[in-house]
Amino acid sequence: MCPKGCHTWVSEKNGRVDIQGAKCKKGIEYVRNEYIRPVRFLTTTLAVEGADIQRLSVRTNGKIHRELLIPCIEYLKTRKVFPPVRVGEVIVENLLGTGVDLVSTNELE
Amino acid sequence: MGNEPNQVFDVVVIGAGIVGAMLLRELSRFDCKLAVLDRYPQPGFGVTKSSLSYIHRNHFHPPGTLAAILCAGAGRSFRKMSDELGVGYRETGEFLLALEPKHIPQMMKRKEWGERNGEKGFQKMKGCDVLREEPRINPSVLSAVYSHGHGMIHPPEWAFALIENARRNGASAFFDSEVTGIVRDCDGLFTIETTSGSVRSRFIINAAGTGAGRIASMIGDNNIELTLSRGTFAIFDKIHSSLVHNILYVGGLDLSCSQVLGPTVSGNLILGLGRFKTPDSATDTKVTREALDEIIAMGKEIIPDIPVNDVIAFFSGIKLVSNLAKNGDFYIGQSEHTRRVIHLLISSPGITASPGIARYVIDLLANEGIRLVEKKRFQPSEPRKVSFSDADWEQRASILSKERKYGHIICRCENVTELEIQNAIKRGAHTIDGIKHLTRAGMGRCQGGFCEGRIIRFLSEALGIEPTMVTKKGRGSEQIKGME
Amino acid sequence: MVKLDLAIIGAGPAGLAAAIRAREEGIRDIVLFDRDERPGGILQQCIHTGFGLVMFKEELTGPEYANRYITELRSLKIPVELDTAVLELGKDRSITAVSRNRIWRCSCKAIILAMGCRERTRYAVAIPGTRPAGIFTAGKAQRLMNIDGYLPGKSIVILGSGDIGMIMARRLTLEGCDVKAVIEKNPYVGGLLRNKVQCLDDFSIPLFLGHTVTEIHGAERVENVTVCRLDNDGKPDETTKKDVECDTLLLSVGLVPENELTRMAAIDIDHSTGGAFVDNMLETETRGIFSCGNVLHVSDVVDFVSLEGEIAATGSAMRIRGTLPERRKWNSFIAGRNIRQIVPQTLTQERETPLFIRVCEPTGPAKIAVGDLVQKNVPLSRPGEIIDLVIQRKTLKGLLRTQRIHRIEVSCFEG
Repeated sequence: MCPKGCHTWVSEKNGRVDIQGAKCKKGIEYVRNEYIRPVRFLTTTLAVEGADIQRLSVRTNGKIHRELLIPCIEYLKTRKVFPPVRVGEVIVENLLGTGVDLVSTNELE
Repeated sequence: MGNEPNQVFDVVVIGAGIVGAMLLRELSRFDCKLAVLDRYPQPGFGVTKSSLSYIHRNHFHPPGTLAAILCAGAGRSFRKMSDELGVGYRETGEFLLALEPKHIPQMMKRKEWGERNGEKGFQKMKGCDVLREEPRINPSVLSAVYSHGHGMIHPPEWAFALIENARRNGASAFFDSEVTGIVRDCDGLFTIETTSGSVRSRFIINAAGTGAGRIASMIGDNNIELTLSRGTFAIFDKIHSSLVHNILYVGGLDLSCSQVLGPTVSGNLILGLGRFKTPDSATDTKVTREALDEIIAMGKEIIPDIPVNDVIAFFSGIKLVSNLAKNGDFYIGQSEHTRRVIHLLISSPGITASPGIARYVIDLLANEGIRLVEKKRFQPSEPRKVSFSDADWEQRASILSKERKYGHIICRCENVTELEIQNAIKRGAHTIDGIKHLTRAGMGRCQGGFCEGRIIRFLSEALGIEPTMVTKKGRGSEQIKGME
Repeated sequence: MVKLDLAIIGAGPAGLAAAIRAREEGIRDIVLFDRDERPGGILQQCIHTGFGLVMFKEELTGPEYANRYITELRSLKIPVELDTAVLELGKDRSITAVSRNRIWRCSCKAIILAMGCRERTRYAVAIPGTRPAGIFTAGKAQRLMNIDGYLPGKSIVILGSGDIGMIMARRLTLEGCDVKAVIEKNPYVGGLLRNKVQCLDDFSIPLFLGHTVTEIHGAERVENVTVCRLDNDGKPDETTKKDVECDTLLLSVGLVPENELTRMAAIDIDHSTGGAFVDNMLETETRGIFSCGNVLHVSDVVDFVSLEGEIAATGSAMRIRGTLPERRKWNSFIAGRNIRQIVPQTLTQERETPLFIRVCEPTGPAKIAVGDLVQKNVPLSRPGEIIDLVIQRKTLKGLLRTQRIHRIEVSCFEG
């Protein structure tokens, strides 16, 4: 089932994936990824020091493979952020080799 | 425990519920070394915090019973202490309702007891007159007995203030100190062992509530049997505070159940107690589905359109009757083995009777040879606690000009400010529930949804402990399992 | 006494959008009040993505969405009074608020209510048992984690498959907790299907539909909860009961608009939404007091919340300038077949009107009909997902210019 609500059917034959029932190109792309190797945004918070708040919310600016979510979170537990930080600032480049950056979604002063 | 390891107390009170706290405070008028021990983190965490919290007129027990003697003059005592201790007390009226013919002789009996106990002002009223006063009541109400002057308090707040006043007057108080054993030493004194050290004393008062039986057996008094029974309460949102104005009791003589709906000192409504059940233990205060359904059904009998969807909290409380008294009367008496241990086996209405109990026990102690010399400089007063919600805007402006934290609202449901919470922590409330009972933060409709994080932080900072060490109600009830 | 053109109570997505739109419409004296330390309302703790698809055509996290508005707010120099709790609201458009620095007494030409909502508690859903540490509503747990940095527990059972519950299931799992199960009383998921996939299926978290938690155990801390299947009458079937060991129970059992101030001003509340009755400018029955966002009705798409803020702001601006026609006729929507709630509830002004509808029971493909004004076909309908329609201005012209007071039935027809 794709996010827009279309029911799709996926079948695999000889290594080829066939998708039926999707109503748009995006839907086909989504279903293909979900079937082969799902990708997700990572969102979490980082420990903060020296600011008025305790945690800084962050996200990856692209999707990463689902099975890398937990290893990334484990790694990020070792990181700390200090002010100042702007919204959208890159905190970690190329997070765990995913090719995707971790950016701040909030500001820190 | 205590600063001097060899300190010997004249009297140690076991249990800082409202009975023990009232007694300690009254004893602190005299020149003697006093201490109270309690298993919980602060006063009033046992039976005291789970009751209707009414100061009743004296119609619960017939004349000649110990309970009736001890409940006399309760209202007057509480009114006076409310001013002295700076704690809340409000009065309202009460209707003993007859919804069915069988209730009529019950309520008339209570009227008779009240009058024979010296109470004045009980009026029998016709159903239609009752409906004029309380329009939302079941229209089939037959008649009622009305009396005014019933008090409403928040007992844990009182227990806390009583202990504070006792301490101001020299008494010691030890919390998180569960009594594990009592030994009679060869010099005739008692050594009381607790989970946080031991104390020695000449006299012991067993005011341990539902734990009194256990304490008694430590002295060797195995003749005490407590029959415990559990009742359940529901609290309604303040938006319904004008649903009823008086305490509404149905019938009244059945010792196996209680059906009452009425206002609280905070402006909520409380409903209770249902058919009493036997708890699994002295601390088994779980609320069962049956009990909840039962009190709601009972509530509907009193107020047909009772707002069942606006229950904001429910809890249970355990009360006791002892085998040493008849018909649910109180028992206060010395140990079989030593005249210097007094057991207080207090049934309902214990809160109402607490001033009377204190005076009675002090008389007993005097008879046993304690020299009770009144202190020259007994200080009866505690300052009125700062409260935002109880103040008017003029008072608020005045306090805010001196204390910025008074303008920082932490509990939005009950309008409790940071100042009040920090004050409560300074006074000794070191748990989330402890702060709740002193300030009302967390008692509103969102039940701590907005304020609990800040309260945990305040406790962590003020006490210098990790947030994972902050507890809801004492060791074992840590609220946070880890840091991110 | 401070005289304000516009006071906005709540600086969440509704209030922020309202403030900006009001300034764009030329209103000068605007103050935004919020009881929290930072603006953004509930968005501050919603660190996950899924926001902004409609407004910004991007998939943003809660804080990012909020920051778009906050940046704009700052550049427009609209004052936000944080740590300021509005405690009183009068029908005469007066407010009293308090902060560490001062007491505010304001007399306003217009007020926008944007206070959001609170969560239903364990007591509201009457779960018997003990009262140990370790019981949290899902939003409270989310705040404790994302704002305070506290982990509420290690071994979790979640009651309710609403969006907040599912999102917390994922969040806790990513933090190394063991989410034992999500328990849902209905035979269908409470929140968005996307969340079921990305929060539960992704992590193999078991979902028990048609079940509920019937008792909480544990004296000091939660030790286990009893779970039962519900029978055909929706009652717990005791023969199916099972104890699930856990140290934490999270409750995602419903949101309630926080209308304490609204009631204080004697403004009528619609029991089906929990919020005020409003017309299609989102003005309440009290002239000059508007309501939008979760305090008006619980929404599931933040973009619609901001849209409502904009409508309320436009209405307020017109009220302040005196260009909003007096309301003499109140045409109302009536809930017809399978409709639980409709917002706004009445039509008084001639303007394009977004309508937000919830059904009572889920359906397959269906048609939502608003009288004969507009209709929409949907591939499926669920109570957990708001259906939005727009009534065009020209459609309303005819309706509003007649003498009659109209009652327009909104219905959901399956098929």
